[in-house]
Amino acid sequence: MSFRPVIISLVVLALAGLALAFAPTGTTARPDQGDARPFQLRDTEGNLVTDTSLRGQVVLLYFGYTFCPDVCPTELGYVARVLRAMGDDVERTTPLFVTVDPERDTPELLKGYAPLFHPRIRALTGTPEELAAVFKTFGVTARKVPGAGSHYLMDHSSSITVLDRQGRVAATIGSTDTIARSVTTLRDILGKP
Amino acid sequence: MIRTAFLLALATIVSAVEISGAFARATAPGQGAAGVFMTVKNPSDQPVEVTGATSSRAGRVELHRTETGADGVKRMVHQPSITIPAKGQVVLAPGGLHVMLLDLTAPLTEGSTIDLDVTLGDGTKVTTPVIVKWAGATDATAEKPSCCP
Repeated sequence: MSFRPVIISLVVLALAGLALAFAPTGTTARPDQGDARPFQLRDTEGNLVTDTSLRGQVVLLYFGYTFCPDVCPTELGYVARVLRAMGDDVERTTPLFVTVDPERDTPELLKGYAPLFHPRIRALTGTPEELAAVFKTFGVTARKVPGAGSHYLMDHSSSITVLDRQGRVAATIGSTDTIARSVTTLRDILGKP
Repeated sequence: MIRTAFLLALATIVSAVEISGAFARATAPGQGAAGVFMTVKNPSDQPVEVTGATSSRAGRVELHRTETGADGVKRMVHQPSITIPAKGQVVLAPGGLHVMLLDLTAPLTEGSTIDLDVTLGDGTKVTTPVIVKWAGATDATAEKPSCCP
């Protein structure tokens, strides 16, 4: 009789342990400076865009999808407002929107979508292999979740990763930061070699 | 026709809730979904359920809530209904609750207005105009940032 609470506690502990062991790795881990992280993607014209082709630019990397009505427009709108506040420094800043939903996000759709926010935002897609590799490289979670009828949604990481001019992860920013704070962060990174 | 209009008008007059500040965000051609945000006020002394919505611009409409997991992963969770407390209000805003328009019949153009009928638990409908703001707007009054230096 008196063992029962103990057994329940043990079961709860074991379940908690399992939950921890299987928790998906997200972007909550603080990115380290480390080395440049190679990646290869395609723009809406089919041209290759790689980490090396972006050297010299500070890159804002955001992963999302156009079927996302809430989080993605908020973050891309935030990127647009940060870019506006950057003044001339915007010329050395490349914002990228990488789709986590290549099935629905055709190059044509992406071509119309990104400029709704800011003309400098480049939408990128890739082969399933290229995209899987870039998600892994940047610790992005992207899971397809069945929705109503033929619809599905994507559970996805939603922070903006900033790469320095050498392609190294230098910071993460997001719409919970003030515009001024992110502009300072980006200008600091631009000032570094 | 006249009878329908009369009934609609009546439904609006006697409806339990007041909707204000409804806005959506501009979409690109081929984009399948858009969120609608608004404030729903309930001046009555009984809670009111919002059970759904319809729009001539969407093949299907759902109620959703954006949730953030401990790992920072965002997910949208379907809501069967939203309760508006008595003498209270619920704000549907980016990052929280929204009305999800699916199967858009045409892109939502910035500056235009679309129709939305919000369905309540007793079956009545409340009609509200929805202003289409720029794609990155976070509230109904947000101005589009001028883009380029």
